[in-house]
Amino acid sequence: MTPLFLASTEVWLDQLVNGLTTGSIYALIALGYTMVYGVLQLINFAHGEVFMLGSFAGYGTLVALGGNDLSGGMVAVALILAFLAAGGASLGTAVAVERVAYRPLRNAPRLAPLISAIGVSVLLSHLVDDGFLNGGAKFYPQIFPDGDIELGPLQVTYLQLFLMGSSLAMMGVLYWIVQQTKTGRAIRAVAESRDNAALMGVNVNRTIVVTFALGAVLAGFAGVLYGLFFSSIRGSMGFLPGVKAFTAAVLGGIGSIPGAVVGGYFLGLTETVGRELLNEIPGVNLPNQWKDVIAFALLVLVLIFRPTGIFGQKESKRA
Amino acid sequence: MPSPAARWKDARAASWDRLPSAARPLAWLILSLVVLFIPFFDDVWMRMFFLVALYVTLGIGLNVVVGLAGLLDLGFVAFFALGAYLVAIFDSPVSPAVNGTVNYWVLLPAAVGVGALFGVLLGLPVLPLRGDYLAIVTLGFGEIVRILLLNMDNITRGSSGLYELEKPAVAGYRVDAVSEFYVMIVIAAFVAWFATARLRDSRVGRAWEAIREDEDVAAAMGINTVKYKLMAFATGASIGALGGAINAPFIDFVAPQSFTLQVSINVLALVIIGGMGSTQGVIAGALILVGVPEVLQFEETANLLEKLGWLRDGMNTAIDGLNGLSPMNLAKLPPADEWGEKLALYRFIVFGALLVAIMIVRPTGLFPSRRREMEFAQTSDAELPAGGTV
Amino acid sequence: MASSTLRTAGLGMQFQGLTALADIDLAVPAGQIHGVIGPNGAGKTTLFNCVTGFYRPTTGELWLDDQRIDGLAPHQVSGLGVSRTFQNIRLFSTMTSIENVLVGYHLQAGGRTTAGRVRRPTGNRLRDGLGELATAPRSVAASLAEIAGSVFRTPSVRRAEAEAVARARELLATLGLAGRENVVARNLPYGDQRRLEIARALATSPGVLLLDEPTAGMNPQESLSMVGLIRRVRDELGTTIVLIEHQMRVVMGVCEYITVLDYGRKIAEGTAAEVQRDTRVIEAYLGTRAVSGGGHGAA
Repeated sequence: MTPLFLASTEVWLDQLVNGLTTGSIYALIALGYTMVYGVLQLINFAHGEVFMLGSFAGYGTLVALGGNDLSGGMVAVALILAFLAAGGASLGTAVAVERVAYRPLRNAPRLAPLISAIGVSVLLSHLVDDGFLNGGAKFYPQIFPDGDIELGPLQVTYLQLFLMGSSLAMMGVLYWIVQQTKTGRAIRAVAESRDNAALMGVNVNRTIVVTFALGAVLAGFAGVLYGLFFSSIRGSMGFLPGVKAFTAAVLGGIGSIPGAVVGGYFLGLTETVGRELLNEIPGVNLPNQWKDVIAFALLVLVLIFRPTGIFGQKESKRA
Repeated sequence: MPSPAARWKDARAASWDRLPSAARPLAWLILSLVVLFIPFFDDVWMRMFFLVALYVTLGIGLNVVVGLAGLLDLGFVAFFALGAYLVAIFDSPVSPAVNGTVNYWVLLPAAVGVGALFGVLLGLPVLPLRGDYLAIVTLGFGEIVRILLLNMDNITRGSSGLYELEKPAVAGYRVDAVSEFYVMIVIAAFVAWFATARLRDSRVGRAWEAIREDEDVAAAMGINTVKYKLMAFATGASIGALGGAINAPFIDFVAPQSFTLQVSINVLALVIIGGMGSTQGVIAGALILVGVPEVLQFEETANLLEKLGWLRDGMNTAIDGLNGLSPMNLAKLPPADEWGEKLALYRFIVFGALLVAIMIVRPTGLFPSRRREMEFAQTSDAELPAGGTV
Repeated sequence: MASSTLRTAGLGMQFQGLTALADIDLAVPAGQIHGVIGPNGAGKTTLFNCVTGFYRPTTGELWLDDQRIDGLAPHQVSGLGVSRTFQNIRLFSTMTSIENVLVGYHLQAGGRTTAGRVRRPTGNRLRDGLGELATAPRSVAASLAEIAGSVFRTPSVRRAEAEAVARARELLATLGLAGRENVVARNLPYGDQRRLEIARALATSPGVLLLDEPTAGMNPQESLSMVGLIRRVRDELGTTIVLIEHQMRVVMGVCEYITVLDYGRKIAEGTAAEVQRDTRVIEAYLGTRAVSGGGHGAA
């Protein structure tokens, strides 16, 4: 019997796991885009840099606690501290950026905050790259044990398992906050209508800051996970995941929280499995970089044909 | 009774008959600068002037899209790359796809045409999108173009690039010196400026302006908004390609790594910092964002900076403190003789900070057009759809 | 000047299950001044948005003379001779008065490209796309010619521009805005802004002019002069006029025929006197629902 596909089953399953792994990271970052867009209709161009700074804070923490020498229970402690540091750094950055670069322009035409956001993005990424690293990169310590776990037919490393599990947990917490708490209600109210929320006694400014903060904390966590998984981090690292996470948010229908999560996984899988599928066409052998082309092409196609997102349920607001 | 056109002429806001008189002093200024610069500066300076003039050209092109039609384009580099590659593919001896060379003066107008064509092709699907979606999609297009260039080895040679381009020749004389390329790019900038100024003050420019102010109402007044947005996109794209086509034989190395998002952001930033919609603004923006960092690299600048050693020592102490908190091994500031280079490196940091600061302090830029200034003074309710949309 | 008939048949508009308009039959003969009245939220502006192509009606048909216009893009509808003003004035606020009017002259100044019939989209995306592709070469050629003409400022372009300027001045003078040509629109007094919006709409030489609350925010005296203006436009240019109005004095004074909408439906029509006597109209404005505490206030 001739096999259905050129690539072996292992390759497909590997790509599936890879897709879910990168998808988790996209989803975490996408949540920040989608929430900020929900309340402000602003594409937070600096969100990729918030993610980047979180990654560096996590790196600094891990290195300060022993780096590659960490072992046993200390790994868990160090990871928790790294997440806290990353979340804190990202939160601080995002709140500062909102205060300095966005809030003064809240009533300006739409182009102005967008350009200011681009400015922040360029400033932060180059501050790290040119100001501190001289164009080099830093490398996350390898603190996870090698070796795979078998989950049914899937071969998953400890790191991948941790990555997927912890991101799911974080998204669960976010979902709970948005759906069940008073703060979450305020966020949803402001997203629905800023003016009406203000009339109903919601502190709009505070809610916007909280929205930035929540998105930033998730981005900071994603930064640590990214560092653990891809190892090398640099100032410009936020750009590609940032654009792709935005793509994920658009795929899921921007403004929708479950949409951002589904969009993130969908994009992760499309990039890996999609490239493999294209490679099934005889004569096609796409290098790894084509996954970026796939992501961008997907973004363009979705924006053109379904601007409310593949999974978008509501008509998005025109503005 | 004087003819309506004659009466119109002395009206303050009369734009259509203003150009010839406004064109003369600026034209003379530019021409005299061209003539004056050539004998007095060495190649290092000329290179800087070339770069500034190149970015002025690109800025004039992008200004049509962003400043006049109000479309935020973050993928402008794609057209710059297109022009450069068109020339390189046909004029480089290492080009794998084409044998022999084509006359540069055929390729130059071809680049303009192909630029316009691609402007339309790329613009057609994305122009119905609004505002920031358009920005992201054009950014995506720019990146796709770069990645494609990197991977189409059998045409572009990937990151190895194309080089040793045939130099343009005028009546048997080969354009080679930096100053000669400088003259070429200044002429291109002038042509681009003239064309876009004429367009701005025409029926086309009025349609762009109307679209920028209120797209729905413009459509209700009979303006085919998609068509006019495409015209703006194509005009900008052809000017971008023109810049690329002149830059290619000058740098003589055409490779994907020169066509990053940073170029798009640079051009956009100089348009905005200068003041959207105005040509003086583009020139000022290019001088500040392109000229100053170049000057910072000059030896003269390094010598001057040597006198500021105390500042460096202070900053290094602070960095030491940070390194003490966590062994991140942050680099220290370099000694004076490397400062020029470093400052050039830090230009993006300054650049980002400048973008934010200008947006907040002076959202209209340095030399805003009268229109732009008024638009920015409006509050957000101008952005809210009323009556026409929900 | 042109005068057209406007007709709707079974026109309906739904937004995600919410019915904004249902089953509207309207017939406005050429040269009539036709009033559309109704409580807030009755669907009056939605009707205008459907007629001008801003919305694509979910059901029914729209006819301008003998041409079906539902499904056309706003600029095509405008090109065929339907123009409008907006409830909350939407001028190009940083352009001068004359520039605003010149935008209205856009199609005239460049030769009316959409003259005659316009292909209606079939709803089949592929077929419509191919149809557009077929006209693309001509459209590209026209655009190139337009760019070249503007850059080189050919004699014909210059002539067209001068003529447009002259006509714009004339139009401004007709509407009592002489001397204000170079005032930036948003610096004009309120009443002048209303008049400028009408001037801009008239510049497209419409066969049908839709006015959305032209006297909103005006005192009785200003309203009166607006009524005079509307009547003059019809008398001198012959333009068919449909207006949404809340001030009953204006409606009764100027409209020759009135359609009453409530909750997206037509509840009555007739002359001012007929409509005033109609019990359903009285009910909609003052009636049972208002008393029982529900719904919407009267105008």
